[in-house]
Amino acid sequence: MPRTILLVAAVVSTLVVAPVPSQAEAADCTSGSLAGRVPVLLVHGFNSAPSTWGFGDQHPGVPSAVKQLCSATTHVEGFDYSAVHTEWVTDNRIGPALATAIADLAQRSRQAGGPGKVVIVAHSMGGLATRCALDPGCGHRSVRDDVAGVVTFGTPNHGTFLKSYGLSLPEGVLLRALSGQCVRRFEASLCEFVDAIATSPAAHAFTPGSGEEKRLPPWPQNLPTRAVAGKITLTTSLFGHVFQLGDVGDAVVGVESAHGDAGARARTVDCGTVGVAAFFKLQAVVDISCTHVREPRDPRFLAEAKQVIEAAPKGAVSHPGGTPSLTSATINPFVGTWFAHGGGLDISADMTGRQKISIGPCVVDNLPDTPYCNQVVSYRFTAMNAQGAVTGTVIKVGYETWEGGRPPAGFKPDGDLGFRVGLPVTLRKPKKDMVTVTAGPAAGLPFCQLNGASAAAGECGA
Amino acid sequence: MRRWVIWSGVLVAVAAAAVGGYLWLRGGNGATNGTSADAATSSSAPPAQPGSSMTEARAQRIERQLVSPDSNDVADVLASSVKAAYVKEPGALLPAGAMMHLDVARAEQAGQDVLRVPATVTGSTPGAWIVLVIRENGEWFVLGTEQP
Repeated sequence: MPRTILLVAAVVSTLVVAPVPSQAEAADCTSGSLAGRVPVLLVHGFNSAPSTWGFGDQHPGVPSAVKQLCSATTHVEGFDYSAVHTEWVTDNRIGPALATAIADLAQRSRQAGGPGKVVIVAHSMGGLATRCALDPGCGHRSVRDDVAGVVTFGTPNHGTFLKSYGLSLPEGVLLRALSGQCVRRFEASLCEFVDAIATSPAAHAFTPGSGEEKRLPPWPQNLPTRAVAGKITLTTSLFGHVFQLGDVGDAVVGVESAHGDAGARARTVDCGTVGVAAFFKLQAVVDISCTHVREPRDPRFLAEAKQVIEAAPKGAVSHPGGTPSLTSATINPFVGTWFAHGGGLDISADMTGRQKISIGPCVVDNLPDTPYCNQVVSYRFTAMNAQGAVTGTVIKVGYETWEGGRPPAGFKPDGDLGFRVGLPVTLRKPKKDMVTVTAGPAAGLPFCQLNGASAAAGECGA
Repeated sequence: MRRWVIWSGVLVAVAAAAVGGYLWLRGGNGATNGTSADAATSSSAPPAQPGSSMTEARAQRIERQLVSPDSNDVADVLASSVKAAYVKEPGALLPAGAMMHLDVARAEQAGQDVLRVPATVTGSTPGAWIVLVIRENGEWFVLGTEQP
């Protein structure tokens, strides 16, 4: 009887949420146009999938993150790495793949006239995957400027206490209680499966102080982040006298670990109090409103995400006159790989560019069959002028052979193209599929974008 | 009919969430199946395993000290995390003259090195209790009590 009451109470508590949009509104939010909407990317955690956010829910009355975050001004998508969820976040299929997904969503937003800046809502290990994705070294691309803000729920920034805390601490008591559930109530094969997961690369990295955790890059500076932690207070009773033993976080991740380095942007959701005796029965897990796995659907956690979403830009970023700072939104029309005249120009979203120009054989001592050399010029773009041209300077000039590597000693290029460090450069997009680069007093060199193939000079219309 | 479908879905979701939470805690995060959810609702518990039982001497010490008016005696048989909380608000747990008997033979395993031991209290506030004990450094200590 008491268990029945608890279960019903738990069910009722999950239904007491803010009004949710209709099925049609939710569908439009996840699959409709991005125009005028804040793009929101939901990132699931370890041993999980996008369904944790409610993608694919069949019952319109059941609350979910998708339904609670959907509105007329949001576009919600999920990042799915469920096929490799037990790998550590630096795996190319997680952190770097997430970086690609962020860049893709931001670009589609810009193309649709949206803000081009994504709000990421990440649960558990999804937050660590996001930390990796936002670091160019870990995510293998620069997407910091594609992100308006990040909200994490129960992210184990400093690991999970279940991997190392002493068994005499409240967390250790909790761990023993849950181990008992496996002994008492679950099939041995299932327990073996679960134990195997505990030895996965990701699970190993969750150990507080692990090398993987230490090597993970911190959040980028000046990025609006909000770290939300769940806090369950554990008590015990001795013949009716109740004593507080301490908090056990969200029953998986401690409050301090979930807050990470968020400082003033850390938030804590009070998940209530539970007696230790109840933890030795599964009813306790049902009874608590915001245990770790429930956070993606908990209205209090999602309210924190809504605040960050509401603060994010909703429309296209405009630059009316003057010389505004360059942003990913303004440089985006130039981002890509451009070819012409045998030279290539790569421009990244991190406002750097790299131009490779063939400048003739690496002739050394008049030997035949010497390889071709390229002059490699690196740019850093810093501003956009009132005419929409991007300006910057040459930051590095070097040479490499056609096959790559350093040119032979004594190599002298056929001609001096005039590039030197500090030379001002201007990047323009005079018409579709064409950019021009003007370096110092030199004439603009036209480059055409042709899907990775070099263009003949005439195709550039120069 | 439609409401029942929805409620059934919610019930399944809550049960799955509960099992998922447990699985995450054990190293997973929600991968489950119907058999585990069904098993989770079982109320039967195995008896204590050989090697996990409490010696008669240890049981007698807990029986004697847990109901003692001396808070030092009480603290001495409490699990470390409970002791840390108890010493901040020490005091007798039961009225003077109370006696307790632990029925170790009927102890059930509640978790890794955790037992639920039926107990009978006599005196001015008689009653049946379950004493939760946890093994720390090879010895049993009291973690809590609950009414059966």
